[in-house]
Amino acid sequence: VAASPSARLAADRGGVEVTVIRPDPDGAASPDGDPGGRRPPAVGPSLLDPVTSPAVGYFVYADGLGPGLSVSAGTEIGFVEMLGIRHEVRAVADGVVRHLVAESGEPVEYGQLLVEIDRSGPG
Amino acid sequence: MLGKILIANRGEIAVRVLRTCRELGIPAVVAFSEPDRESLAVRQADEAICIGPAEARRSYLNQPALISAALITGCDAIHPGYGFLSEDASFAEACAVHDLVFIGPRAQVIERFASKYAVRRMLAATGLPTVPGSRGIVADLTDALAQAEAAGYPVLLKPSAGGGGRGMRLVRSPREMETSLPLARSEARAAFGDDSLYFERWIEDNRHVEVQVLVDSHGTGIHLGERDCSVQRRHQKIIEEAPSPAMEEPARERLRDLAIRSVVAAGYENAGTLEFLLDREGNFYFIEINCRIQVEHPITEMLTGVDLVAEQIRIAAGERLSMTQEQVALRGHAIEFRITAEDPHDNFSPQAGVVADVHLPTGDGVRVDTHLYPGYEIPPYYDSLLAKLVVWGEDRAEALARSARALADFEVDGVKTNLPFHRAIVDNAAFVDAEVSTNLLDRVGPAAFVGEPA
Repeated sequence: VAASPSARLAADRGGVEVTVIRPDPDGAASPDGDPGGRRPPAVGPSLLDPVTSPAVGYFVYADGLGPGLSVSAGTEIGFVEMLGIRHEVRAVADGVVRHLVAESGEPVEYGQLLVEIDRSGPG
Repeated sequence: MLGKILIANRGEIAVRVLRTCRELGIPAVVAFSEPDRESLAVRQADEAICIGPAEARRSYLNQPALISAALITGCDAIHPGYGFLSEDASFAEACAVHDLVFIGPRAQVIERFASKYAVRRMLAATGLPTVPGSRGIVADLTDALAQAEAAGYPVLLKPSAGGGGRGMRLVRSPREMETSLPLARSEARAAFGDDSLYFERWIEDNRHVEVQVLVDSHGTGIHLGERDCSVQRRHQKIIEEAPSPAMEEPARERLRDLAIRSVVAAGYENAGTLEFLLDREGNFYFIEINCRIQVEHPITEMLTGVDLVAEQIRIAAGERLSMTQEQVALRGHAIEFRITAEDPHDNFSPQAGVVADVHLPTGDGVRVDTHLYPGYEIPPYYDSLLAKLVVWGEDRAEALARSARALADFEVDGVKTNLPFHRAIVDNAAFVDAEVSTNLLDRVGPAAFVGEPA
């Protein structure tokens, strides 16, 4: 579960280096206890918005969720079942689902990357 | 034996528990909060799992997250370390509900030993001396005066609904009792909504001595000697040593023997520590029992060669103790120094930041339990303990000489620590002559023990 490397995605866009940090690889991103990565990234014209696990348990995708699907803030991505209780995972911004990182039914740790949403829209 | 253990703690104790798991060949999973992702325990573990954000309530105190973490990683047991959930009966119960072994006393046992007042009565009934005081709640002034006369002044008035030292009043004479009793009553009513009071004799210049016990689930118990934890600052232990330099035979053997007999009789289980106050005349009084592995357990390990964490695991697995009382040999003298990220030149203010470099002392009889490594960033969210320097010698003089040398060799760069304070204490006559009482540092002021900042 914890073997996932801290994924840093760097892209050079017109001289502006944009770094998207996987939710909290070193703990620096959310010292206030905000579930890692749920906040919108700070800058950049095109960003992959990470959606991360809010709990420790088994992750299950919402029906019909897949790459290319347009979602809006609040759309259900899936849920993490922790000791029989479902913890909902929702998109925090409008965008298009780009990568399904986790597998349905997979055990996940807190803050684990589940889905990446492209906020720059289709195309 | 247990199959796989979740370590539900952090810092040096997570590293310490992991070490024993590896030596016993039991796979272990380290549970960690987000800021502890780069901690030594996580680095050393074959498997680790993030259980929540920095805030302990949502990570190290988050029972569902810890239990779920144990279940999804295939663990069948949880070691709680010390602090956090280590003495939480509801957590022990939740583990049991999910078929996880809680490595500590069973929930019912923790519950029975949780109330200080009830435990004192229970263990007094099995023959342990307790601090003289009122028989339960004080009825009125006449009752208080009569009972205080019998117990002996000074006495400490305590709200029966209170805790953590709140609302306590020191009463030195019958005259003070007349004025203090009504005041303490109204304070207790205001603070706790309950004005019932009891009192205990106040033992001035006391020393703190505790006995380590191991009791298996078959009702067999042994003691592993006592520890002396009299060097304290604001009721926090700073230095511990074993055996107690303030006790002599036959009182020492009587203390150890009474302690183990009474907890076995009272149905205790797993590793535990009975704490006592020791007065100037050598009388000891039971105050409470700790149902966990103690921070200072390594000094007992240095004297006995017994791995207390391994014994905890065996007992929790239902096994019998691996040794008899006769097989426990206490040899030499051991001292532990708690190295913390606190600045002794700035009222012991907690420090955080990156440890640029660290050099740990080595040599005969020197053990360091720590989670430090060069480049480690100390997060600001948790307690300030960085390392425990544990030093053993054939006798106290040798242990002291080695301690002074090891403290001089111990280097932590980048973050201020209380090392200068420890170096001053091992040089201090009161400590060297073993004349330290628990209130010494607070009475004299810790500033007296540290020089000017370099």
